[in-house]
Amino acid sequence: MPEKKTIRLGNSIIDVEEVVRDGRGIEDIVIDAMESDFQEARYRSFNQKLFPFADAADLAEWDGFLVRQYPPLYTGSPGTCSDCPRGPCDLEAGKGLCGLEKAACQARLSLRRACRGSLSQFMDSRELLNYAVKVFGPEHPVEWGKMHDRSDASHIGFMTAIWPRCLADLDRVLTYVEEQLNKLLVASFTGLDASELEQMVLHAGSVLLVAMNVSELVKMNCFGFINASNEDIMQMINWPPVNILGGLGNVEKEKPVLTFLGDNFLAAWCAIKQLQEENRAGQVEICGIGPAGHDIVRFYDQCRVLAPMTQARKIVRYGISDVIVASAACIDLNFLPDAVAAGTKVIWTGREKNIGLPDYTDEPVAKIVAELLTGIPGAWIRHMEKAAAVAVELVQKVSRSKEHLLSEDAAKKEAKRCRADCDCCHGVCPNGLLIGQQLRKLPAEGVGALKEIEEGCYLCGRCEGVCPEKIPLEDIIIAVLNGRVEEDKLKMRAGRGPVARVETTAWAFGSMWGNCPGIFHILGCGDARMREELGWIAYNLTWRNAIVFTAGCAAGEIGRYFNREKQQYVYEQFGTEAQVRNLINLGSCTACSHIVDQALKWPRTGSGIAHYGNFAETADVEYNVIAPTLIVWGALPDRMYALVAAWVRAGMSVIIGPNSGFGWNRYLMGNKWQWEDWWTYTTFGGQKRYVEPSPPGMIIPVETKEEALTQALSVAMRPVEIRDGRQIRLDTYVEFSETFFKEFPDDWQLFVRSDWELPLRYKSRLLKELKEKFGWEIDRLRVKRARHPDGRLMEIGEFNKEYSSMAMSITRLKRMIARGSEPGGKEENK
Amino acid sequence: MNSFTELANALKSRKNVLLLTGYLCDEMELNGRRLVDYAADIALKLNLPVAATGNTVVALKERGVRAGKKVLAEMVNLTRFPHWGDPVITERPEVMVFIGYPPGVLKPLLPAVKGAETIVLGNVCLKEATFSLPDASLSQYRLNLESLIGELGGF
Repeated sequence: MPEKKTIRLGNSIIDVEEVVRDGRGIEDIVIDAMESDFQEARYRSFNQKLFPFADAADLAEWDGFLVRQYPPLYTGSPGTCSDCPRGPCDLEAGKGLCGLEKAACQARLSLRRACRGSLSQFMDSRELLNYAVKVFGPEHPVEWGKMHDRSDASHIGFMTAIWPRCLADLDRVLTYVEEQLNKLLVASFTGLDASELEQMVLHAGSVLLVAMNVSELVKMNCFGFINASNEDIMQMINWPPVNILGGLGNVEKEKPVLTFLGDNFLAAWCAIKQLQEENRAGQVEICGIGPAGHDIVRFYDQCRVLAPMTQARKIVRYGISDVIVASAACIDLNFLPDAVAAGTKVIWTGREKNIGLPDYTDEPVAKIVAELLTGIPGAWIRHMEKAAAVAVELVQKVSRSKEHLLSEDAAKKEAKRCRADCDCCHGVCPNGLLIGQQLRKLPAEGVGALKEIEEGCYLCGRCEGVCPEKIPLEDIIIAVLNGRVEEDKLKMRAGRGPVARVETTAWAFGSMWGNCPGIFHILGCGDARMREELGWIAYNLTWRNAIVFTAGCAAGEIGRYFNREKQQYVYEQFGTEAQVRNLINLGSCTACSHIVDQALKWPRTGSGIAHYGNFAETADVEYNVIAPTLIVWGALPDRMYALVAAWVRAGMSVIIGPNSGFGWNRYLMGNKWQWEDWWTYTTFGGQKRYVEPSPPGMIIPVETKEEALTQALSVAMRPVEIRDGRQIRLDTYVEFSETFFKEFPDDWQLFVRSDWELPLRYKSRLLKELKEKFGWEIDRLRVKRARHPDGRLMEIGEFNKEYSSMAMSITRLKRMIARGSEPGGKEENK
Repeated sequence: MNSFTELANALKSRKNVLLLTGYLCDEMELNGRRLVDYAADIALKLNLPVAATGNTVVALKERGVRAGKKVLAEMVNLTRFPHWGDPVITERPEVMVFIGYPPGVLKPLLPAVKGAETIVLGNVCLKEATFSLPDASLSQYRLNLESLIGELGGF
């Protein structure tokens, strides 16, 4: 008989097998995790289960709740299924041969999309880790930072229970990610149960964050990325400084321009190191597009962040770069023809595929440079140091002309061919842009007539494809861009890296009891219709005292928002400490994992919940008590689809838009008008208790930025939140609705639990509506009797006793009902 | 339906018709007249309740339309539940009429509408709808809307 594994925690001796189903082979990890942060009090009270190296099925209780409460709304129609050799099967006519129903087929497609998004990140994380192991060795130490301790949540901890100490630990973590993604991908072709498949989508999101965690740890511990957790907490209000300049207008065009594009920053790291060693860094303008740009600025603050990945074709086609070093990214763009048109040389470093370039990986640097200078458009080099060396040498020798740009006169001539009886371009534009209408104004008004069209265009090319007159619309868009290049500027802080629990503890009181409408996360991929919309959203939340986190390409786009009155960019207006009224950029796409991880730290602070292998318990508390809202503005890449799933699984609602959000084909929304759908268990007693529909949805698409803000507040309210928090959230919800739509929201009354929660500035008007529209009994400025959703008029005290759950302990997980307190249990009524 | 007369008659004869107005109502101009003006004409002539999505509620109310601020996906979402509940229209709509949405936004949503017919008054024909105006240039689209509004009769 193997020795029984136990640990002592306070006065309790805990049998590991009681907590972990099968701990064989991972005893060291489990015992380490439990000894370091497991809480005796919670262990004694609840049936805690830990799931190290969790499969999707291990978290089914929590995921199942989410999918039941917010049944997926599938849009689009799959038509037929061709997933197996027996197909195709017409699912509109009935089940497939294997028994697959239409909803399950849609869930398969949803899972496949999430897997695609996660895999693209996983590939990059794996390549980065492999490189780091080669250069630094498997025992190279890693840590989150000096301010982080074992109580700091991370997705590595949630999903594997590992506290990583070295690169070899991260290899073990990525092996787990690999295994999970393989399982999920297989299920996306064979699964038959729609609910189970959608639960797997949530899992794909979680493992994506694990891969991102790995990348972040490697970046900070091997490649010198800045990390706030190693800095003085008192300096955080302005650390790092607002010193990153970006946009085409900030590029010093007289210097050779070397641009890095895609997920992989390694070539940039090698190139900048080489330039610095040779004292030539100041002679070359380094730029970044997509994640590479946001990574580079964490170790080299002279880099210019140009644009998000979705805008990459536009920037390449414009032709500001002499050399581009590119790798795979969140979205697959065929940018080589654009680079050729602009005379820009391309070095492709991706190992997973080629983009049509000759393979020069094994050729000497001098030969590659010579051949690139004499005609070939680019080279495929699967060796980072060599790619960097070629880029550094090439960029100082290559010369280009700007003759590829369409002149204004030529643009006018082309625009005259646009037919008033057509407008096919509008019909196919993913952003619904009125291209033809504006194009017809160009001959008279000049390229400025298409200013807004250019802003909303990410050069998908569909308009040009359908134009019966073959008007070169893409060239015209670039001509418009050429006209505004000098205004294309942004200013931002570099990403500061992870947020330690000690820092989140500081704002816990401000966010719950203070005058703070909530914690908001903002992401976006750059495909929104108007350039400054992300910054507008960030500004409008931050100056209202919200705590606003961002990462990825959104962080750069927010930096475009300029306050003309104060002559300040938005990052200059606010601090960057994780605190009320601050706007905090955490880093590139992989730093999205820090955003979720910081959000999930407070259940440890507030409820003593250790996170190792313990995701569901943490998410349950997060969802019920106080969960940030994520706004995704520009949602084109599949990676965002998977990321959003991770947010939802962590209990946080997501508002997506504008146009690309409607292409997701799956949303998670409940029916807020069906009050019987909204209930929970009381943690002590296990009774079923009805609560307000908060939040009414977990993924909601919207059309405009004003809708995004208003909806973000509607889903920010949570059943357990206390009076002060509810009051300020209701206040801001009503304010947004009145400001943008000149009316109260249609559902504000669903979230009222007492007159104390009514915002003071609207109180008399809201009470009047409660009385006249909803039949509540009002006595001056007090609610005397409230209307229960079932129609009963009740004394307010009785109403509160029976309905809602302010400051109560509730759970959606049956196993988290306190031991013995369930009806009939021995601890009942204690 | 082969003509604007038939479409107008169909709209006039149905109970519980809900008009949904999207953000293009605020942004699109047809020969100097905003799309929201056409939407308001339709709503007023048929005395329809309007689920105004995007920011369109403001302009519609200014034109005297019985409109409420709604979220497009929420309206579609509600059609699949047994209980309707939304106060914009007291009973589950029999017909949902969409105007002011780009095809990329509306096309995927239409198959998700349950238990209601869908009519799309746009300039791109969407086969997913029960009925959709034909593909048209913006100038032809304006004529289409004017024809329809003319067939709806006086206020």
